[in-house]
Amino acid sequence: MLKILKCEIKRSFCNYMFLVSLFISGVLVIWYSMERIPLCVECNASFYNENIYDNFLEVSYTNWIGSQNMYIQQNILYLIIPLLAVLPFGNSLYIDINQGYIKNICTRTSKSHYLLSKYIAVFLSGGCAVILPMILSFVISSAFLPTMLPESSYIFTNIYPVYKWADLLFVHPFLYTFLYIGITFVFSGLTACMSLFITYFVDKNFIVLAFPFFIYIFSSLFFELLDLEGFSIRNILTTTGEQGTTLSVIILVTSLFVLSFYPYYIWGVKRDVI
Amino acid sequence: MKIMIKNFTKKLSHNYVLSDINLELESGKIYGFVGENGSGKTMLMRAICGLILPTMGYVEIDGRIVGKDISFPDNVGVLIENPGFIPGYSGFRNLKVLAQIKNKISNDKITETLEKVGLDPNDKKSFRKYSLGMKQKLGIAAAIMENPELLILDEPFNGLDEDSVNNIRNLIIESKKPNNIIILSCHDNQEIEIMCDEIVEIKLGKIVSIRKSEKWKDKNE
Repeated sequence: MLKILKCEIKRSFCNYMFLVSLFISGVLVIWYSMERIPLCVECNASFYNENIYDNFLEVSYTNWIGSQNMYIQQNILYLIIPLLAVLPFGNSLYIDINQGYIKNICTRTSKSHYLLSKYIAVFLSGGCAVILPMILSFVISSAFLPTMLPESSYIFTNIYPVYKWADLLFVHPFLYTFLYIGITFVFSGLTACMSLFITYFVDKNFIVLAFPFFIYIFSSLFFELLDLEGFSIRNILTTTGEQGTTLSVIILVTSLFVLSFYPYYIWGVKRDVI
Repeated sequence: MKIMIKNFTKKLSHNYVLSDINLELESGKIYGFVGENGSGKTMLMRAICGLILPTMGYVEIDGRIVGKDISFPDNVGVLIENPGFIPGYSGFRNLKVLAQIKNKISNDKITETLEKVGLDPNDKKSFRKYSLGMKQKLGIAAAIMENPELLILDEPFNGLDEDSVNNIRNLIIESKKPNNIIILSCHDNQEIEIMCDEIVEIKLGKIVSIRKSEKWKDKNE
């Protein structure tokens, strides 16, 4: 199992599409940073130099791309998360089946080991493709802005007390930031894995790649229309999303895992390799 | 090694692609599967290596049932239909990735196998840029590189020029050992008669005859 897992993980990270995904998100992060960071630096300069003490310091924890909702770059990034996640390796099962590579694998290791390894590799590459640019954004913010506790007043940030885990921001901001990056990793990985099950039923590569995007958008819209924003993935991933709770995060993660793994695995083990 | 196929039946989309197949294969022999297109030769090969599961019956290899006791034969090399590899990798890298799964052979063995089938191990060209013949040779190299006890080659001469056909034919004959089984399918009946010991004729998913080849008769009569 470990050998095939190693092979699959290596394939999932060392490929051209992983770089394409990183390039797209990297462009958005740099574009965002070029717009946001100079404003914050200017604001901080006025705080220090012009003695405008009714102003406040902009800190890195409230100015990385995931902590803002007023910028188009952030909106685009959070809209295309499923595409960024699925690009590196989400269609690899489709390619393996259609090009006959699966026959070489399934005569060297068991189908169950192959399917498990594939799921883990798609999950890890999908998660990493999305969070690496977010970490880059946080690093850029930290390079230009102070990494200190934000003003302990909600009026200076976009984050209100009712938002999930908001209290943590003013006590352990680093933990808060990486909690959000962590759940983005998990949701991105699970979203990428949604492409695996659909592979068994379609004969077009672009449908495999687009499927997680449609699930993400339609499920988010569905719950938002029902006023259950706490169950909208798009809402849960952003620090400025309303209504989300720890429980809703756990329920969504469990549901996504069950839906993306069990049908894919059980169907895959029983399915003939033709 | 002994393979027993008992009442193997496979139904796909309401059609019986294999019906009540009963066959015994013993080591030390080369078996040839012959039949028209769509007769079920490739399906039978898939069944033997565990790629398809039976609707009825079973395939037993050395007392263990495929799909129940084992997922696939322990030591098998397979080329079925089109050779499939990672498009962006070179031939050597593709074989290395596959070899790492079992971790039984060294890089030298991969190099030696590539040379044997007539490919350059140092060729950096990616698989997607390979010609049909080169892809076929790489598929054969992947099948034989781990010295399998069960070697299954479906139409191994597809896309090969005359010299390459001679080379691959010799390679297959050299691969025959007292403890292994080789199964071939080929449209060229003459080729099958030259290489095989026994010939299994399949028609509409059923075995219609099992006979000794001309080569076997010449050698034993």
